[in-house]
Amino acid sequence: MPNLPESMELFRRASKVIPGGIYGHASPAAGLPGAFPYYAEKANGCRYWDVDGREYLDFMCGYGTISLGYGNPIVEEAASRQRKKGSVFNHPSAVMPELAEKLTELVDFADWAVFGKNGSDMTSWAIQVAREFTGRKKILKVQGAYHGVDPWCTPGSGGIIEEDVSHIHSFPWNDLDAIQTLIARHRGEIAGLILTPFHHPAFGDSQMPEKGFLPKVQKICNKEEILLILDDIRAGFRLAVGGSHTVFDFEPDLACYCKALGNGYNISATLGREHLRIAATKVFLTGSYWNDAVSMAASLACLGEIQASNLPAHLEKVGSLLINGLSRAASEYGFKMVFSGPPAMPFMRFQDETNFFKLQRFCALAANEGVFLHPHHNWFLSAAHDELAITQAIEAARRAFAKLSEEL
Amino acid sequence: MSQQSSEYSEILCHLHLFAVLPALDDLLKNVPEARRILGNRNFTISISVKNGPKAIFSIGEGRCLLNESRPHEAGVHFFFQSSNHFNRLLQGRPVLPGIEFKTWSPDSLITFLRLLNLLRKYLRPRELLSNDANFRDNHVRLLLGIAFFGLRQLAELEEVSQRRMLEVPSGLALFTIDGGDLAAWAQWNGHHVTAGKGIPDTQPDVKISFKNAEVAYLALSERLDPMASVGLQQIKAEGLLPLADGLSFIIERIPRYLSV
Ligand SMILES: Cc1ncc(COP(=O)(O)O)c(C=O)c1O
Repeated sequence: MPNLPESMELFRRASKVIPGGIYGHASPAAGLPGAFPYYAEKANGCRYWDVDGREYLDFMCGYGTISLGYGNPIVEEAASRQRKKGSVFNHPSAVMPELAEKLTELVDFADWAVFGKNGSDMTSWAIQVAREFTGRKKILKVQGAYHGVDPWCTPGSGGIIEEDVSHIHSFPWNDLDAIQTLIARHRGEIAGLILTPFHHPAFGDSQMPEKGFLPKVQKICNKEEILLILDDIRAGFRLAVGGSHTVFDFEPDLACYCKALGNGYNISATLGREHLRIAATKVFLTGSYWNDAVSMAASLACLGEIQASNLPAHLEKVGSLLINGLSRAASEYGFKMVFSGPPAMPFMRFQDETNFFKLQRFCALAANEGVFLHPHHNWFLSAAHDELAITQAIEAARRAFAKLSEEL
Repeated sequence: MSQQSSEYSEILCHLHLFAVLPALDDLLKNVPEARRILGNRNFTISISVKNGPKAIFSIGEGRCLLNESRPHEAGVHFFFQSSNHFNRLLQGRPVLPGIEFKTWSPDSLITFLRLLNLLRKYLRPRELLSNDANFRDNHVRLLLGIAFFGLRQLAELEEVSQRRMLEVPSGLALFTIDGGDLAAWAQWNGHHVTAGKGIPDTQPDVKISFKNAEVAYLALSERLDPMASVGLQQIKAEGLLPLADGLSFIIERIPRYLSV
């Protein structure tokens, strides 16, 4: 298995001065310690290099933040043009209203937009808007869904007190009865219901909405005067240029976006309907870097490119090629794979396994062959993944399947 | 958690009875001094806490075996008025329990109390300063047993742990220490946690291995950055990691009660 001396040495230094060494989703503990690199050096298109000089065909795309490919020239050119003028000033730049106009033009239900830096900024703000608008306390969410790091939704337990979550209630994905039961129990107290367009838990199959689930959720919310908040942070602009709700035939009141928005430049957005405008003005929103014009210029260029190139269609095409190719390569060695979620962001596992040992070993072997496939998280593709990259990835995966079958 | 709350003392009482006292078995199996104290005596100790748990320990032939359900027939029977009352005994504080001898044997009572004292000594981390590898291995062995039996108690009794486990996938977890004979397992079936020492018969769903007893000791006593240790491969984790995370969450709560 790989020799990653530089990664290890940096990590040794880091672990002395940074709790955890690396924390959060990039922590080695969340991946495959010793098999996955810990630090990246540079990236281009759909490839990146670690600090030990190893090259990987990337199927995580910075956990989704890279939608067009690393170093996309259109986005980089827009960012560097703005950078020459400056990034953070005492005031926002002209690009801020321009970006809001672009987003409200792309996303059909939206009449306004606000901006932050990360997904959590937006999901937390959105539930506050729901509370402000309805005058109610409670929030419904899907069990096991990730909405960020703030106390009301963090999957962690450190530092959380009972009161942080006492008004947050969960229901299983696709379970309308459970939603109805919660509503009956807390009628008149529920401010908002937040969900993702499909359920994409870590360490588990992604689950698509059953036919009619999301429109029915919308109907229930409308009837009960509960705001429907779409957390489109992970899937937004990957499934449809107009936002993921258009794929599943429903309309939220508020929608949060982040990952695909800036192609690596940090920006997030919440879009909302007209009747929430006043409530939106009442929930204080700002941050030291939130008016940063470089990210906004990058986002504007990125959205233009997503639209012009019809990114979702491309992702669906290359994602399907990847899934079919991996299935075929696996079957040559007697393995059967299960893919879930949309082809643009698939989750893969072995059909006969629930405890991940084989999948972790396969992903370690694949990394050693130069393809970065995550065993615990859905993958991401980008505009830079072309047919050649997919063919190369499948070839490398075939070698990994071959080694795995020898080992077993 | 507030030391005063009745939930706290009840949980601590269960931990003392079903996680700490069973560690006498490891003490007897591995520490010659414990075997010397026991000699060839053979007796049973029964403990009951008013409105609380009961347990009987059969002590003899180098073992101390817990029997939760055997009828009332111990050699020495301790009665405690409350969880707090019993907790004092294990905390080494002055305590006067009700004592009844089924067969008159003050000698067994004294032997039991001497074993308890020795156990407390082996659980005290400051003794590690002695730099005695043997002592440290036994300390870790005892901690590991207490952690796993304690895990079961918290999963059954503590609301925070119960809530956490609802999000955890079921399966069998195996914890081992490389280069040694120490191993412990825990099984979560979606409703209950069972746990034991040694290698289980079935294949685990998640394996956690500590590089050595020192690392295990530091991890179990929350003196080690666990995330960094995984990155540095001092702790290896493979398989169904959310199961190990859930169990570790509970194990890490044990020092809130037992400040060994
Ligand atoms: C669906 C979803 N919501 C919210 C977030 C939180 O976003 P961030 O990590 O940028 O705060 C994420 C991040 O992965 C996400 O996938």
